[in-house]
Amino acid sequence: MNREVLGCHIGFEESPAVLARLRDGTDATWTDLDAVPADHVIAEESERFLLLARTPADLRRAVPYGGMLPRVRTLTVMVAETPPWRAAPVPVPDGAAFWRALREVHVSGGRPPAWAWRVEVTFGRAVPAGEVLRAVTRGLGGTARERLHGPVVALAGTGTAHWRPGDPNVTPTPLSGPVPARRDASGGDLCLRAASSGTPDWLGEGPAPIDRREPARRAASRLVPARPALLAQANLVPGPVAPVPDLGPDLGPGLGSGPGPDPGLDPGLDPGLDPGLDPGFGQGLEPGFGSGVRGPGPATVLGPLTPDLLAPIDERSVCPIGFLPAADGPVAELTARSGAYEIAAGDVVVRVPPSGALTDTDVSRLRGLAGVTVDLTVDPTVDPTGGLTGSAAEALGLARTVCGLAAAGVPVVATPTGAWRDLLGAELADLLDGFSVSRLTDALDREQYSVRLRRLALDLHGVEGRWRSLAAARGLRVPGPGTVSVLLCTRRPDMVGFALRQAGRQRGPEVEVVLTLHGFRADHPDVAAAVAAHKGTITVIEADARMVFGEALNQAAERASGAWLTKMDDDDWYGPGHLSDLLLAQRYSGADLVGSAPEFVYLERIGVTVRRDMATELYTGVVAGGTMLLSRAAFDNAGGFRPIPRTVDGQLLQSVTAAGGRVYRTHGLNYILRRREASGHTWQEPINAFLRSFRRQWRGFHANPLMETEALSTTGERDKA
Amino acid sequence: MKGPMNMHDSRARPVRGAQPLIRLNDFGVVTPPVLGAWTPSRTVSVVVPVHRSRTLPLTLASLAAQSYPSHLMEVVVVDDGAEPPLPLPEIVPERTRLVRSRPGGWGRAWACQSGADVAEGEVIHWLDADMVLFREQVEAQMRWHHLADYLTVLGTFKMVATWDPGLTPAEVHAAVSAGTTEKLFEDASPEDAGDTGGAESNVTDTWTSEYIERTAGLREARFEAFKVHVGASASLPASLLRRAGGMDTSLVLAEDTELGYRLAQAGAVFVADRESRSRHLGASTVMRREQEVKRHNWVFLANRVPTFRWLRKPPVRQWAVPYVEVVVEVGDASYEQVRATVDGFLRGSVADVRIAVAGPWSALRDGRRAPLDDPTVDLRLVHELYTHERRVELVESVAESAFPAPFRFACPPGWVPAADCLTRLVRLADDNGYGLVSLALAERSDTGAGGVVAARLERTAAFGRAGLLAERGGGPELEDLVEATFGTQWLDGETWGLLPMERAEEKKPAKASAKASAKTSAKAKRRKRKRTRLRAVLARTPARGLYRFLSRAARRALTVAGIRRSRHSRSRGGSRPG
Repeated sequence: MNREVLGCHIGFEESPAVLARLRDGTDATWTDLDAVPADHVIAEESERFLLLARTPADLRRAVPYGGMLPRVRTLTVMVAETPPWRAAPVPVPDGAAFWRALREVHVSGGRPPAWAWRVEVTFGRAVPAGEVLRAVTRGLGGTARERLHGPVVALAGTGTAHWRPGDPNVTPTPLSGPVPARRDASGGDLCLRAASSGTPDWLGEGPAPIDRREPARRAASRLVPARPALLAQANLVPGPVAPVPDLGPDLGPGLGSGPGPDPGLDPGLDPGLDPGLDPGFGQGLEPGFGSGVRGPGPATVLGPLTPDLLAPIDERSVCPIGFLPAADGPVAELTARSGAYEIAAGDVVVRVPPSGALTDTDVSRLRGLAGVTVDLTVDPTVDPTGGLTGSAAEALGLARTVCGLAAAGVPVVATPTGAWRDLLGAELADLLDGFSVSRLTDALDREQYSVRLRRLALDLHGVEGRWRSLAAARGLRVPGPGTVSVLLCTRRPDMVGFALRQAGRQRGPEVEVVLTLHGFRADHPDVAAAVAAHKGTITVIEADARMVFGEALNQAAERASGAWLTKMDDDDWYGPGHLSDLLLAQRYSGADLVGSAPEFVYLERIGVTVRRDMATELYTGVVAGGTMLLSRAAFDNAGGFRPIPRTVDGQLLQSVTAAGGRVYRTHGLNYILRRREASGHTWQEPINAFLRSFRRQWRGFHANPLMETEALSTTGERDKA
Repeated sequence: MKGPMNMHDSRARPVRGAQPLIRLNDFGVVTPPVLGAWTPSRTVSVVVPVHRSRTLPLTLASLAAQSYPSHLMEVVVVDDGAEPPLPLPEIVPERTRLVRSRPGGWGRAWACQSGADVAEGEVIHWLDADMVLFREQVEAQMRWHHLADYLTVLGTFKMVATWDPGLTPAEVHAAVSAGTTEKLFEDASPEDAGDTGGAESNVTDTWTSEYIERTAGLREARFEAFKVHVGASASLPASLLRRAGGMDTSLVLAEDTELGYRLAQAGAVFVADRESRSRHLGASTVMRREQEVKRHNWVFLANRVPTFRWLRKPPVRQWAVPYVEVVVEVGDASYEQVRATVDGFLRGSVADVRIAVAGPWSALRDGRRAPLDDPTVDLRLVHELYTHERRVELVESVAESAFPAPFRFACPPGWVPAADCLTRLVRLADDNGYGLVSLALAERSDTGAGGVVAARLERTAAFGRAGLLAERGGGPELEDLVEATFGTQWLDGETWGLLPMERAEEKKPAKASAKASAKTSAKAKRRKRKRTRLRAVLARTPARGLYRFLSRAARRALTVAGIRRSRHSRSRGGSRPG
């Protein structure tokens, strides 16, 4: 066995000083995972292996590169900074036999402000480090299993993990093919290749790969080399007791991950980074150092500009989790600097590498901002054929950064023109166009804009959306999210019409309504008309009035055929984006049960709408009962509803949590709870509770624009329209 | 005005009908037409009170040269006891009347009210007899009165220290007509200024102009705009003046500030128009004897303008107009409930309250009854409890408005305010401009809004304005208009210091002697039972009935004498004290 210590790192392009600190005192040979081709093998086997990632998002990008990593007895994974909402990276073992050889797991760190982590896993024999890495990443994601996005993809070339972050199911492929076989089948349904001017012809059989520009990156020269004295000792390193960087108590803040980006990097002092300014940069340095931003030469033309030229956004990292509704923060500006990007409001808040890949910790830092402006009015260089030339490589990175901000719900303000519109997609461009900085000061206006940004950006530029469109372009159909079964159980015939209209106007997923008439018949005139007017799939169940509420719901769930179950209440208002936003939240949170915050409440007795002061976009134990959505499997795992007459919602939440599930609460802008007089409901809070503290109050019924209530009657009752 | 004005009057709206909704004092939603480019239709009476004035001929000459159509303008010169009676000078506007102040009073307020009483115009325009107006002064103010019916418009004037004593009305008329009024006074030579010892210029701004500047022409002055209501050149609809109760003729100084206060409570908006210009000849009394004027006026204003909080010191005493009128409707509440609530407000941190306890007091009969089994015993007890408390008024029904008190707080009996409850609520309302703050207290099972037991703080100005708007435009409900003009808010009662009686008692701070008193409570209870029996016996005796009769009679006598004045009998006309 090779007794040399090997290490790799990922994501430190814009923070070389952090990497230097982590590596300090370690004798190892290092590989930058983003700088080597997908089929590169660092080593076959090693006593121990180090993996340094700046953020969980970077660690997820390392997962597809698992095949590069050697078989090891000890794997040490360090994440320099994580956002507060991430779970601890405790490895979650799977069915692989090597876990029987596990000897020790040591997880430490997790202290604010950086929440840095160090995980060391030791086995009795050499095991594939890539598969251990998966287990660590699952731990950080807070899930027992990873949801894979179809299709199965083969990756060829450098930096291609940007296209499949977190995917352990990829097949590394040589640059000129062919895609290696996996058992008896081809290793991938589609192959994505990072191309450059020197990319050889594809030799593999079958369909040609999807050629995409290799993600732009800073040269290795930016990384501060380990101290020569330590490098000199590299060959003397003993085996299991090799000095390995330690996450001492002093490490957290020292990582530069607290309040601002790495101070060790100052692009302003290094004009040589811009290849356009100084093509000769790097002369006089060691080979391999200082070639500036790498990328294909000007000869490469990408063809017509479309959104799917951009590497997708990893929705499990760059997403609305942690969104803050406060509108009193500063407005920052996103600008290109020396090939990379800066988001600054006076001080630099975040530096984005040339690839345009935002991370979860970057987004976390941006949460205090009211918004981010970016100038997208100057067209990037476009060649006569309409393609983007190499010298305008920046455009892809900048457009991807904007998409990332939008996907995270960071209110990004721009008026994109020309090529920018083509890259962002017309819908997203139009949305950006219709907003202005002055509107950021209204917290509600800002948040509804953020929600619209998330929807479009996550759908179009998320990993799932991007691959759905790439697959469709090659004739492959990727299964959709599945049907949502709405469990609607009511005791009031006069509310059936109102409730069915709320379910009927849902946009996005296939919806099936399971309507339980609790104590009355389907031939009730109000009901018959309402059911006839409903356009979607509907199943009507007549339940005896003596049946308890929880049992009636379980009966409805049995009759439901959808992959997802959700509960809707008969007297609350639901915006048309309600179900699609819940599915979206499920996708980025990975939670077992998602729901909205009961943030907006219409107090019917006094004719007042309040917006309560409620944290949203977070993992929590409680969501509004009328908004719970969970998979069929999660519902069955939790044992369904309890057969009791009241508080069935809270009981289900508790069961899901007890079964090891996680509950996520998304924004509350699609939902208005109707608070009736005390007698009309099973249980409710006293009216005073809603008036004790709130964020805002409106006289009368007030719905934000996402509710699209113009077409609806506001009282909803007894109107037969 | 010479010839018909041009017809570009698209921005001048019809006088009656839907009124613009002005939020607080921000009249930016109303855009006045450009001077000279609109067609006036409303009539105005310029009321000029005169006691003795050498400058009246100049004032009337400048009035005769106004751009406002003469057929829409009358001038009422009110002779406030000048000796010998005033003659009308030669140059006067076409329709000028000279009237004597109504007998029985004197002073500027008295004269102004006398003039307003005989004025025929839809708008009253006050004008002092030491003012020289610019040509568009009246027109500039009148354009606003064509846009809304609840505006008080303030002119902009500067003080002229010295002027040519030989200045003739004809010269003034010519200069004003030619639009060169400014030139009449700026010529006072710099040497003159030097002689008087000051380096200041001859024409100076007043203290109000600085405030007006700071509040974007009063648009940002919220509830405070009235304090710059200077009567020397202001105008308002006659209906608004009547609504506010006219001039307080008991005042001989500061009457315009006080009127401004009541106009604000009636819902008026104050507009400062920079193009309604004039010159005030000579320094005002305020300028000459500032300290003495303050010493005098502050006493009178303290009594009448409760929102000048700094004038009401020490805080624990009573003034003519209370700060908050508390309303407690007895309904079928018990004596204990009413007492808990009323006593709570009496010991609150706002001392200048008046508490109206509404109940069917006149239904209490003196005939023979079983005192303890009397179905009206609770009402009797409440009556007896508060008959001698000056801050409590036992009323049959509650007036529509707390006017001129700036706030009303309606509280159901049985709910007890924390000591700082009213202070906090009023501050909240002032900070946010709210016209109505409702506190949810409890919920009953009855359906509808009545099922929520609530207390409410009403801003008199907000409901005054809503009333004005509802009267003219009809349409939305009063509270919707309050929401549109001032804002409304619902809050939780407990958070804001209103607790049910039972819990308020629990919450009372435990005294050191609490334990000791608990020990003796059994003894006390026995003693109390004995006392109650004794009282029952006493109540049956004729002597007690006589006492009750006498006390009620005494109270009536005091009311008639006007010493114990009721809230709404504002002294007007004949009852001028002093």
